[in-house]
Amino acid sequence: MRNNNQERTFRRDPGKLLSSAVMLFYFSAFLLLWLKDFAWQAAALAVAVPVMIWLGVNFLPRLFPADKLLLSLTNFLCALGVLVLYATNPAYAYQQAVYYGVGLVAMVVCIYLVRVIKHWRIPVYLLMPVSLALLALPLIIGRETNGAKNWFYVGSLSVQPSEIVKLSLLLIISHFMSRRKFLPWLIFAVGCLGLLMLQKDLGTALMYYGVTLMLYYASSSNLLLTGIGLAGGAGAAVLGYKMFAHVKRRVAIWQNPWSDYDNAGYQLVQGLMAIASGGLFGVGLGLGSPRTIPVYHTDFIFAVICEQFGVIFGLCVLLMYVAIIWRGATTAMAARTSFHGLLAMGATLMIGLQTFVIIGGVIKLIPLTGVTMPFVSYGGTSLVSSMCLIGLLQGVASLNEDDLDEDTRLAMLGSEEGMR
Amino acid sequence: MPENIYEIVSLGMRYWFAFLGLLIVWRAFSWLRKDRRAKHRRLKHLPDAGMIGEMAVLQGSDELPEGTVIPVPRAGVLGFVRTCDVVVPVDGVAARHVDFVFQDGKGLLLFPLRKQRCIVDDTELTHRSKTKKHPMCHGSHLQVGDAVLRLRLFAGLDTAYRPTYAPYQPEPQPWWPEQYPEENQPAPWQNDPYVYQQNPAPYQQPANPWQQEEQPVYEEQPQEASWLNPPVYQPWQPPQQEVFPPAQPRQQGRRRRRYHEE
Repeated sequence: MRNNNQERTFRRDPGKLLSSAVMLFYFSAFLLLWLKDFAWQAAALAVAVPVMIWLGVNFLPRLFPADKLLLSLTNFLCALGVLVLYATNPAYAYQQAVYYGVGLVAMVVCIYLVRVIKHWRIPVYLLMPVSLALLALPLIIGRETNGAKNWFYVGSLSVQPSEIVKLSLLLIISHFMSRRKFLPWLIFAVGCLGLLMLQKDLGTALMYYGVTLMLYYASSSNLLLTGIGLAGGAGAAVLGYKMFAHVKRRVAIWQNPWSDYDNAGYQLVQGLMAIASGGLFGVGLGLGSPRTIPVYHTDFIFAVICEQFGVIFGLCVLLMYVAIIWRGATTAMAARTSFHGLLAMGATLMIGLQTFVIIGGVIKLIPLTGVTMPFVSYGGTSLVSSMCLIGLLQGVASLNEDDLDEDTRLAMLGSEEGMR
Repeated sequence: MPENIYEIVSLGMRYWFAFLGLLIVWRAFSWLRKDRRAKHRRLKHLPDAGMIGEMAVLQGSDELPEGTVIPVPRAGVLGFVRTCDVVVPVDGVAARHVDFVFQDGKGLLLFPLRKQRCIVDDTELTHRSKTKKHPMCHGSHLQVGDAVLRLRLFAGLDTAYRPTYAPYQPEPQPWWPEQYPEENQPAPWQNDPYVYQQNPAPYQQPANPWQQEEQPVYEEQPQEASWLNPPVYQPWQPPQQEVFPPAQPRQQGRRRRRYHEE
């Protein structure tokens, strides 16, 4: 009996039930939306999204030893963005679906880059000036949106360079920290932070700063310098509060959004009311009034999720992020070289910090900053860069698997020689 | 579909979505737990996972006695602080002394950090040296500060063919052995077959558990002289002259330092 149970456990793929549940979720959700107005797009998405998830979870791991759990959770979150956008504004959903496909391709490219490139010295030195130039572009040709000048436009395409540069930031910091070179990454990080402050993109600056500081502590264990860096960051935050009027306004709204609920605090109040009106199980998919929340499709998409699906489902989404972070930290700790370890840890921290900053802002835990919710929020640059972060993580995870297989081979070889 | 019917269906479906969300989270976390256990089980059978070999300490310090074996990862840094991958708490070793990385087809490449030096098989390396020309292979010796380490690579690793460095041989003994009695003792690692000797230790026949123990032999105790036991007469012999060694010339100047004393 016990043997039968063991064999059954061995045969059962741990990811099969998970990916089946994910596919079933999207099939039923898009089918429900199709019932609303019998639009063929919803029916097409009801088939296309589960097929895409099935391909992503079952086909990609045949090319390289990819992490199926990460793939499943990432696909779920990306498709959740498409679903919520379709329920609120279908025009955004079609674009997001295209970005989702592009993101999958970018993820595969990142996995291969991590696996193929053995020496990152030349790419890193090339990336440094290119990244700084990209970050400086919005200051020259960009337009100010919501108090920050962090976008520039190429034809009809809008690009947020800080989302792209965060990948190069991770690569550069990981490379130099693993080589124990202090100055190059410090100069680059300070340069990035300076440019972000000039753009008044304080949310992204907070992420860059937090990830850099935590990676420095992870690489050096130097508590003194990390504490000094933390104190410097606190000083910069106070300085930013004194210097920028919109920061003062956001802090005031955070303290009491109801004091100016029909003007500056309108967005936060609407978000909180949406979460509250959703209750435990939500108002139902396709129902409610999510479009009353300003920027419901980017910054406040978590409020829309909570309104449509309820707080229980919102907590499930949060736990999925926790699972991704847990997996990322495990991957980073299992990495064989310090570069790959720092890269995986940086990608994990970036996703975790970004999630914390935006969800904390939406639920009034911290002052609201304008960053996107990874994988879910509408935005091509954000989605593709988040998928690239997962690609970096997957690349390190696949290298770890290769190394473990090599260790097993060596151990078998050693035991065979020992037998002789 | 009419709006009121859609509303009813949607309100009913929200429990289904909440259930699926909880199911996905439960499966994800149980997968994480299972993977952690499986990995733990796998690593239990691979105690050397992530390592390419080990460094045997031929000469160390009180904190790092001779014979200690330090596992060596594929890449890392050697130094005396505990955050280093290979910790060598010996005088003359810097906090971060030398970076190392194992390269397939070559061996363990060493990159001394600025102002640091190390000696690999009699070749001195600094941060300016072309260190890739002097990789460490199985049996290579590394001298950092006052420490002397010997690299032992695991079987199956691909390294460049290089004859292993001749094991440490003590310098010829001084002409008069009693002059430096402490040097005539073998070094601690020389008696340790695991660390030092290339060939396995000579075969020793195991003890036979069925063999009877040898009975102690009781010697006859000399009895005191009495009228029953008169003493045996011993003829007188002249006392033997003490033999002195011939006078030897003393070694001039300061004695040369031994390799392991540097």
